[in-house]
Amino acid sequence: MSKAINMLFSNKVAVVNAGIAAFADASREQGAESVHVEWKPPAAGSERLIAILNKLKKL
Amino acid sequence: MGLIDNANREAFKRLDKSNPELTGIVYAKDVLPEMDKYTIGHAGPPIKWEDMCGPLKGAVLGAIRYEGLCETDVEAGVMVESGKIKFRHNHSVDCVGPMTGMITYSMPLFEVSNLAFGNKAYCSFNEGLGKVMRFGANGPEVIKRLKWIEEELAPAFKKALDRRGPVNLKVLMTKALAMGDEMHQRNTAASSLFVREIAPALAAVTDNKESLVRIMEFITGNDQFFLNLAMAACKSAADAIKNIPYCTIVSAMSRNGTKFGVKVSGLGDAWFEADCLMPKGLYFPGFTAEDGNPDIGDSAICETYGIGGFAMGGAPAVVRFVGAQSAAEAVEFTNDMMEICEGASSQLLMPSMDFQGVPSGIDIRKVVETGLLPVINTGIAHKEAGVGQVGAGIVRAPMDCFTDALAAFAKKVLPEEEQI
Repeated sequence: MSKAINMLFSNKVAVVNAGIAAFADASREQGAESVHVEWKPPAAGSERLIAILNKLKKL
Repeated sequence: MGLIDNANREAFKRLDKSNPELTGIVYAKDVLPEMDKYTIGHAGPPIKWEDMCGPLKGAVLGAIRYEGLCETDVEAGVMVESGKIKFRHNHSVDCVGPMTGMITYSMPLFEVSNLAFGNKAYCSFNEGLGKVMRFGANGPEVIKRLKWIEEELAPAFKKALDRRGPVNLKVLMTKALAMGDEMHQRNTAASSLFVREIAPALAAVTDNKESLVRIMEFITGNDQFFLNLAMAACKSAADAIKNIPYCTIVSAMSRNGTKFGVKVSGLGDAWFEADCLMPKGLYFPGFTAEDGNPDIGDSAICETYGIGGFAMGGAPAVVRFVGAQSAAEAVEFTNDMMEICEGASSQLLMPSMDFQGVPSGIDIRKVVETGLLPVINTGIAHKEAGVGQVGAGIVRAPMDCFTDALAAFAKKVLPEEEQI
């Protein structure tokens, strides 16, 4: 196991949570410092809509 | 900047520069094209009789009786079924009307001129609250009130306006926003400010004291009186951005109680439609969500411009009325709308948000990308014909309108080899 991974397990965990807020809440409940970032995949993850948006950006 | 960004910047500048002014009181029969007693204007995108919701049908039957074409709802229904009545959506003739949006031959309209671009927009008079035609009520008291508006209120307003001169609505809206109105579900300040502008002239031109008392009681007894003026003002601004090539900014949002429609500047007159959603809000005593009709009305023109739900952060007093939880939530609504808009108004400022301008110019690309849907403050009509308003709340525009519009836009502007 690398030194960095060992440090992760030996130090107090601080969490940056992106996406589902319940994960941030769960981390907090277990005593970890947790910051939630509200994030959703663009266009709800639709590959077709993302492709359209990307093409329009080039115009 | 690319073609789309340039076009959107231009649209935002036009919205921001728009300068609506109340310039006249007119009658539908005198100003609207191909208007006759058998033509009825309604809210939202075009719709056939058989697809209309309860309150819209109720309003239509009442409107036919209001025009004196028959005596009963049954007779009115027969006229509709026989194809004698022609329906058209208000947006097609530079008009807007709240909720069911009835505009018929004899109705008086506010004429609002956008001084910056020279176009005009029209809206009916606000009838007050409760059992009113805009919420689908059509009883004798509803028709009587509409006749009174036509025969006593509107002529007095016309004379008063002729004497006083035009009323600048942008100035009033700016002041009202600073006083806590978002001008869709809260028009308390705007209506009061408007009365202050028009009352001296009304008193001067109305010889009959009893008539003056009736008029003053009506306009001072209705906090929502200004809504229809705000709508015409917003329509005049939104029409100024129609047909800008490569522009992805929304030029109209409207609902007929069955379908929600969105127009996009660069896509001309096409409506992109999806089923109307149910507002979430508070119901008057004795009514529940079971009684409510899906979202209806041309009044989403307010949010198209940037007031109403978009300005909720500057109107904490409206929050509880529309069923939101806190002033902080209202600020969140406005901040979210900022993410899907091209810019912030340079004049319509919200003191409670550190004088931030209201978000203006909805970009369909940003709606689709972020998943943040336009938020609309709205009244709630009973789902059955003839009942009226049963509550007020918040509703979202449906996503399919925006994804369909985006796909149509891409089809129009992308070269053949780039089509998806």
